[in-house]
Amino acid sequence: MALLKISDISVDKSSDAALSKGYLYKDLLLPIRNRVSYNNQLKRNVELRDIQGLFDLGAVKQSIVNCFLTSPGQKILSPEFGIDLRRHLFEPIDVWTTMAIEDEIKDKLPGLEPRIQLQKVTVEPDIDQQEYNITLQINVPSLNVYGLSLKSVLNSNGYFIS
Amino acid sequence: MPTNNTSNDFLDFNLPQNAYAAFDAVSLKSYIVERLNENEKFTDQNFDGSNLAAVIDIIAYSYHVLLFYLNNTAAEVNFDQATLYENMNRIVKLIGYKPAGKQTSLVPINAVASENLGISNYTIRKYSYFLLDDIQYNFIEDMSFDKTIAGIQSIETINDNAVLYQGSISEYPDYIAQGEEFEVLPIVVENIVDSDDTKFIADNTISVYVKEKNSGRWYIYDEVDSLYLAKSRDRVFEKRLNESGNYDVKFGNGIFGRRLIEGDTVGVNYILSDNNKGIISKNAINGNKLFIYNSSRQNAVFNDTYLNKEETTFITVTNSSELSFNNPVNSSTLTDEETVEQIRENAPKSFSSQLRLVTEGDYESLINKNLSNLVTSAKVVNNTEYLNGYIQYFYDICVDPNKVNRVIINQVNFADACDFNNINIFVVPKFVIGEDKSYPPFLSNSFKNLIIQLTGDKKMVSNEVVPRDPIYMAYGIGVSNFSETNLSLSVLDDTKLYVVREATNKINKSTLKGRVNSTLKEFFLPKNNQLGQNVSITALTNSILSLEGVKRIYTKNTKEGLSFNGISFLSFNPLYPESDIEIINQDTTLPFFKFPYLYSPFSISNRITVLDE
Repeated sequence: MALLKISDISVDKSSDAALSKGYLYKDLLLPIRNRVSYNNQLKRNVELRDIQGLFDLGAVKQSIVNCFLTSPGQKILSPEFGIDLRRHLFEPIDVWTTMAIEDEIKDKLPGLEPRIQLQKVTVEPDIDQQEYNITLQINVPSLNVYGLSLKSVLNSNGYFIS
Repeated sequence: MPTNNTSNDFLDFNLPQNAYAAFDAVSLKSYIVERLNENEKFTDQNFDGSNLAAVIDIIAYSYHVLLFYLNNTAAEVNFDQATLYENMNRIVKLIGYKPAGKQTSLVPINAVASENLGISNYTIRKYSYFLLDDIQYNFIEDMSFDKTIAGIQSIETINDNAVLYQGSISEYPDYIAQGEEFEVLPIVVENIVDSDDTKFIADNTISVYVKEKNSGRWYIYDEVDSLYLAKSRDRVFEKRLNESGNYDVKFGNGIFGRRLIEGDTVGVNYILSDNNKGIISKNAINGNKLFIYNSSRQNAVFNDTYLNKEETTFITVTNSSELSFNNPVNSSTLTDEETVEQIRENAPKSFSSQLRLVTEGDYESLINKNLSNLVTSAKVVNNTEYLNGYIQYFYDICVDPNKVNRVIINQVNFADACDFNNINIFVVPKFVIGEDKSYPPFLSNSFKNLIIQLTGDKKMVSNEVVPRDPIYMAYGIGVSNFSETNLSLSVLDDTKLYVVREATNKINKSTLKGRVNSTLKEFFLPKNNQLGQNVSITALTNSILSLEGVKRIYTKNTKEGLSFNGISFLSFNPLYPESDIEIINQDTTLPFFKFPYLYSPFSISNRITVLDE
């Protein structure tokens, strides 16, 4: 059988140099798009032979979003992964649901996303807008980020970090 | 097959032959993650919440599914792994194997001619039939016989040779040939079905006629095993049950068998079996009128193909009343089409025999495949084994074999003066014991002749096929201290099987007794036994001991006060119970001519007692 080396199909050196920024966490941006590098001489973006990524804090935030929007069992190879906040959207917006969402986040999120330390969770129902405002206060020690406050909204369109 | 082996050949893409088996979703995911870890372009593959982890999951699972189907597909093209009928059928087509189809019920028939039927030669035409409440039994070949005396005469030719096939005679619509090489006509009628009520084309009943355009006459085409063995002008066809469960009728190419010419008309007739509804009991055909099949196409075929019809006296509606018919035995049961497993077992044997009957196994596999609706077990031996085994058996029990009914009947009917070239086929028919102490039946002469016909064109010219009857050995629960010379059948009345119920088990005693009873009957069912088989008392004992609530079993002769820890049988030949009788309580291999059965299946439960521990 022929020997196939993945290194043979890597990006060229100029692209590689543009990508090397020393990030600690490097994830994929979805939907997949080509990455661009700003060329100072030509004063325009140059498309690189690589895809756009999410880095460091952006990657961590995306991971938290994925945790909230994934139902347990949905990710076939990690069936226990996910919190599934969406199921609460079909329940009445009241104090009980609010407490349930808060408890679930506190219980599960630190296990699902080991990079963060969850300091505080605040869930506030907004009955008029039919949504919950969720504020997470987190530390990301590996990135030397402490007391980061993530404001987010959970409504019928999904979960968004502002 | 997840694996933790991560060093390695997989990551270096230096893959071993069986690597595909290791590419399940979990291991694929771990390989991708490891590869990405080495590369350091990405890091978040290690966090389940990342987008990258989601993409990896999708890729790994997709490949897992694809490889599953690839693996399945790869397996299905292999003879030893195929599980679907369609695939197995296609695979064995490569070696020219023709899977057997479903077989209809057959019945032999006896005929007596009245004194009003004059001395002459008569012919019962093909497709003449009897009707019994919409159930039809047919002659599928012309049957000629002689009336040699003026008075009432039993027609031995019919008694020994005629076999009727159950079903209605059906004519497939005329097919106009295209004139292609190896032209194939599929006979599309549902015939592989499991329902009791659905009709199907009975295997081995297809007849093919061709009205050739050049001459405008019908011709009979004969079935051959392989067109490649036919000459260029032979009017032959090959029949095969295809992967869809339909019969394909294939004609020659002008080099191997006559090629159809464009415009030739092909007529195909077959028997459409009524399935289980068509099974009849002994003497059901008794005084029934013989009908003559009449259709315009069949009449045209008859006129064109029957050469000396002017000189032949046919049995017609008018003179058929001078013959009285009856069926001396029950009709045979149906046989299903060959299953995938049966094909897997039979195809290599068929291939190794190359359409020739040379070894004992060749004969046995041919009979088991083609006459499975008639035969429970068949064992083939040469003359030396016959003499040293079967005939010696009679001398051993002090019986003159030349005075034994079954030995003489078969010798006279089927063997000639020269015996060294005999192929002796011991055959146990399909049977069911109808009452206690009844003796199992032997295969009728008609069916024995069917075996001879079946082997006729495949056996060596110098060989003589002689069907033989087995020795049935009766088994009843019995234990005794007497020597064989003093043993008698009274042991059966004095012995019981005791089943000790576990103290902690509350299973109903009559339920337990019923289960032991069923286990015993199942063990001795004809379909579970073979000629010359090992009668495994150990297996039977284990089956009973594995029943829920059974602590132990023992057999006790109350008269002698003798007890045996386990199950013990009295085994004897019911025709010579004084000479061939013994106590059997361990595994025993029977000689090739002996077949076991349960002596009193309906009252065996009276010989079983359930006790508490």
